Amino acid sequence: MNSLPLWHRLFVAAVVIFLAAPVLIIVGVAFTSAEFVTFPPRGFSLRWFEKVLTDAQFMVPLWNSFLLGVASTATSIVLAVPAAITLVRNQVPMKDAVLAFMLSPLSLPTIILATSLLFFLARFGLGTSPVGLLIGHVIITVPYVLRTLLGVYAGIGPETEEAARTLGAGRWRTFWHVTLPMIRPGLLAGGILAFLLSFDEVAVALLLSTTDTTTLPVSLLSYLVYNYDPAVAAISTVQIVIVVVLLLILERCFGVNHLVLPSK
Amino acid sequence: MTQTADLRTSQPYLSLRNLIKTYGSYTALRDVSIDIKQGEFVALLGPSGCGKTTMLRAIAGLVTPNSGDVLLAGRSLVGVPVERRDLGMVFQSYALFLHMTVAENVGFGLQMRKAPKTAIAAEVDQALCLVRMEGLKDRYPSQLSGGQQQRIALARALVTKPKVLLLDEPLAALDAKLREAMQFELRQLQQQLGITTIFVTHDQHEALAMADRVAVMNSGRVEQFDTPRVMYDEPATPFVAEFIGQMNRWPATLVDRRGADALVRSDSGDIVVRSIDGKVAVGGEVAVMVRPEKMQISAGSGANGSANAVPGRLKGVMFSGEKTFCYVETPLGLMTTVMQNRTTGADVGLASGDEVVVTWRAEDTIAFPSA
Ligand SMILES: Nc1ncnc2c1ncn2[C@@H]1O[C@H](COP(=O)(O)OP(=O)(O)OP(=O)(O)O)[C@@H](O)[C@H]1O
Ligand SMILES: [Mg+2]
Repeated sequence: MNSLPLWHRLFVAAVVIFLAAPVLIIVGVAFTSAEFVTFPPRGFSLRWFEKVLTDAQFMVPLWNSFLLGVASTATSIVLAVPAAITLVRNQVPMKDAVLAFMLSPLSLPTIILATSLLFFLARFGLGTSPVGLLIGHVIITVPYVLRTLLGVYAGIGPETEEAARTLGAGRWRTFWHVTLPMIRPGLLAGGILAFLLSFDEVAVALLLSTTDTTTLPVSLLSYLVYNYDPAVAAISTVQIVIVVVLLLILERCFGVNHLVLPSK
Repeated sequence: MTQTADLRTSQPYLSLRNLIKTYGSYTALRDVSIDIKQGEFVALLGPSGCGKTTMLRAIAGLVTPNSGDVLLAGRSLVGVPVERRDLGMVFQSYALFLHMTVAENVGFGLQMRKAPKTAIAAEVDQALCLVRMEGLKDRYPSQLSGGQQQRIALARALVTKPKVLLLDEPLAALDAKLREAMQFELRQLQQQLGITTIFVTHDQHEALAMADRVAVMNSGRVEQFDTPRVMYDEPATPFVAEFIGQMNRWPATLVDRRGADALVRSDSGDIVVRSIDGKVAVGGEVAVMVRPEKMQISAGSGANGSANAVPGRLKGVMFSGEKTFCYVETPLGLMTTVMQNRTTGADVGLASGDEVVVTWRAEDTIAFPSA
């Protein structure tokens, strides 16, 4: 790589610091031995980790968030894959309108979405059920998965799948042996986005969850109303670790470079 | 491979009957009908957008024609899904499976036919051997050159022993040298396997050099379907005449029919042409065409005993290796003549501005009714 001019490097460094500093501060604070949030942290201890990891007040929402994230991601993928394939390869009447509609949650403030969903779902008795919560999150995550899939799939062109057909593969086997492996980068990139979005989504979860189904961001929010101790930093650090570990696993299995950048 | 390459049997193996395909208001195939014999190598030639790919895709089943029929060995393919037509296809983009190795790519068709693993391995080896790519089994397509990818695509299509091989400009992406070598190899391979092949190209030299018969297409129609020689010497339509090779062309009126040939009158006196379409009445407008290589050029103004002669002034001489082109300004417009440089040091012996005469034979003069 060519060496960048000094001002360029300074600029990049500034951006990195700006993006990373809050995260580093949170992680630092989590290891404090003090009773309250201070920076730089005083002393070193794992007491706040011990507290959050043994406290159902944090662990149940964390598990809920994880489950919800996985379920929203899986549901989004199941919905987005057929939609992307149909929209890209077939003649759909009013294709642009359909596409714009499916991506429209992207442009809607989630709090408005959440409020209207609450009223809408209540009609069917799903107001604050786990299913309602899942529906709310899927509405938010599906456009992201669809968007990434559309890009990847449209870039592939129909000929590879047609070649598979001429070689004797029916539609289903063509999908399984050719289409799916080809769109995998988009699937993984979209899936990661969906999971991360669901994992720290607040507005919908705030309105649609109950004490049993409350998610981590929601319970953190309510915890912060009365408390200002480093437990919040500790559970945030746990959350960061989970995300980083997930990304590392994916990187191991598939190579994140492949996921984020289009494959050659 | 058991197919016999018997071109004499009159029974068509693959027949297209009155195929019509429209995209919205655009007609990509207008009533296409051709019969192809077993083991025949047919080149589909035509300008960009004339419907070559559409025709190939209609045979493969990737495009559903509005009407018409495709018959393979007497049986209609209409309604038979792509995967059960048993045809091999090589796409212009090769369309290799990028996530599979070369061996997996080539073995895909057999895998889909549920062949046992050991049989697949053996067949793959054999197919790779056929295209001389034995050593690259474990590579991925992205690690291959264009020419290598093209061979893999060919091996992949051949390995299932398809009834017909459909090739959509398979050589278009290769450089000139490699392309020539592949033309020869592909033709050898096709003859060796005796496989009925349709080869799409918009390179006329490729079509003439490789094919048993050439189908020239123009805006969705097959204009002529004949052997390369007939196609070149006896074009059926003005489009074919001008699309294949080069033509000098000028207008004239029919004066007289005289048995085998006919007399037309042009701006530079009378010209004797080969027989002309019976539909043209005496006094009717015709377009006269002569290929540059059939014309001679010499100094002076005499006809030298040729049936046809036009005086002119030499405008320029262009040497291009094996040939020399001369451009002559005549009363009929600019004429191009071509001379083969058969001997070393051969020179036209003429300079720009010289008074010359262009002569040619009646048999080499084609005339079509003016459109
Ligand atoms: N899916 C489609 N929708 C609309 N028009 C199409 C479609 N496919 C082909 N066409 C049109 O049909 C005509 C014939 O296309 P085709 O691909 O058969 O041409 P071609 O002879 O193969 O040309 P080329 O030499 O450029 O490959 C073109 O004018 C093209 O624009
Ligand atoms: Mg084409």
